[in-house]
Amino acid sequence: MSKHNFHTLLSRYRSGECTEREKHLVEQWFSMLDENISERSKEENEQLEEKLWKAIQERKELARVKPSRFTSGWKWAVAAVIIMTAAGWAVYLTLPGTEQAIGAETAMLPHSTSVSPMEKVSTGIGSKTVILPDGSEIRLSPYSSVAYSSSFDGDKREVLLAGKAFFKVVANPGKPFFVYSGEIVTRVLGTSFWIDGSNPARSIEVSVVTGKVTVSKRSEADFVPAGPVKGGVILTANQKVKFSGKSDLFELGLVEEPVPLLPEESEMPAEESFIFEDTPIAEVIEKLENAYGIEIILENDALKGCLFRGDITRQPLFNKLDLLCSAGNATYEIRGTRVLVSGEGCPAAGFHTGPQKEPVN
Amino acid sequence: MALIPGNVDEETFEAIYREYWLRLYDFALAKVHDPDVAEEIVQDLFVNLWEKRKGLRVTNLSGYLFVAVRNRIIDHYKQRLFSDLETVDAVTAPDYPLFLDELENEVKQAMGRLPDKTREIFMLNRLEGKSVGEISEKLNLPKRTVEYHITQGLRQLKTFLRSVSTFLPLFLASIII
Repeated sequence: MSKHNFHTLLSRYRSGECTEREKHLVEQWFSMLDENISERSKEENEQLEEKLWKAIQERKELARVKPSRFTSGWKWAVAAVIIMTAAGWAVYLTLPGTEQAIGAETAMLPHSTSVSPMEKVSTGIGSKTVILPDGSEIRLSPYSSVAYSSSFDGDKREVLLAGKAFFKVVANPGKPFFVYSGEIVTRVLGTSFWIDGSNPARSIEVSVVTGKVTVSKRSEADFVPAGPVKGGVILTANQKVKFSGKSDLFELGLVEEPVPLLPEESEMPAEESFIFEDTPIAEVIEKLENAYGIEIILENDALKGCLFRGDITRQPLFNKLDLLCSAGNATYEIRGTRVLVSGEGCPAAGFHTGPQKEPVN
Repeated sequence: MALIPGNVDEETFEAIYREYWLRLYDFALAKVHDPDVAEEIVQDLFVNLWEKRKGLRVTNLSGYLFVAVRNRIIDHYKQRLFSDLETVDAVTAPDYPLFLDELENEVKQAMGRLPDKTREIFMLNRLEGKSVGEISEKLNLPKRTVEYHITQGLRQLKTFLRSVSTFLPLFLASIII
């Protein structure tokens, strides 16, 4: 995917760890970015000069700069996932949010038992890491805002989000964690009951990296979930949901690039290998299902016995499936959160319904 | 022009701002095409300069400032890409080398279209932030000639990229509106 590659290139350039060739490429690309800019009057320039100077002076005064613990978003995200298995859940939330959205809603949030003042954090061109009072972390993408009670002293933890953010939530079943964004509310599961509400909205996406969350619509008048799950969906790792206010539908799917789940007991991701030596496809599929936590259905039994050989350890899941399908004259499609593999089976396997294994002595 | 003490006081800081803000702002604006982002970049740059003032040793102030603004512009594109990505994946994709080849090919073809002189002047202006005056002095050419090369360079690149490039929609989207 060229966006990913482009991001890699720019990251390498900025870290100073790139080759001369990469450096040259970035610099040439950079030289071609220019657009003509519109003329400004002398007055406009003077105004701008003073506006910027004032802003710089203000920021100089309160330059209490918190150094970021991680230098790049990528590193952070990975670290989050690793720590998360032990500590809680991760959610990736996306919505076309705005400053105003959160501004208008902030006033509504301290509805529960909390009387603490609201904290609000917004980003401009940069990302920010926000540490919540309970130790949970939010990686706030550019042009996004969050608001939350400064003490989290109610019986639940509530955060308002406009924009895009990556959440790493510390588990605390006694104090469920909610994220309100646009028309939906996402609850990090500890216990499970829920209520929904309805409002016309733009589409909002929630993707889960690790753990389990519920996503439902927000009620009109209230933030508090007070009944059983209604119209909400449960998401586990590698699944995402898109909510469109217009159609009022939750559309379940898989994230674009599923990642293998982390083993529960370990904090480090085990580099699981996917090397197969004439292995029946059914076994390969089973291994993939377990590794990614995604259900893969073989439509036709004839496929089960097709043999697969190859090292697909480093391929993304969907490339793995492409390779697998080509070995079994099959195709796959994503149906909701499941993958359906269909095809007539491979000629070599013929009528064999069972796996072809060498005799074991 | 080319001096900055190891320790910048308020007065020097303001003088640097007054002298450079406009060129830095216009440079950023031309690259990011968004006044708000350009403003934020310039603010960031100066706040950062102030915070680092004690340990700063810079022999070429203009060069330092333009490298700093360039880095921030690249960071802006990087972050925009990052927020566009849907998945969290730290691994360099297997097709990264191929991507580099293709990008290089595109850039080379585009740049290769430019006459040597135009390319040299274009790069000095667009990459290093050198003003027309500076380039004219450096290369001993009339200002009008320098201006001509810059406009020509930009026009030719755009025409070429519009007509030929099929790859890297993002690369193009950042150039052509």
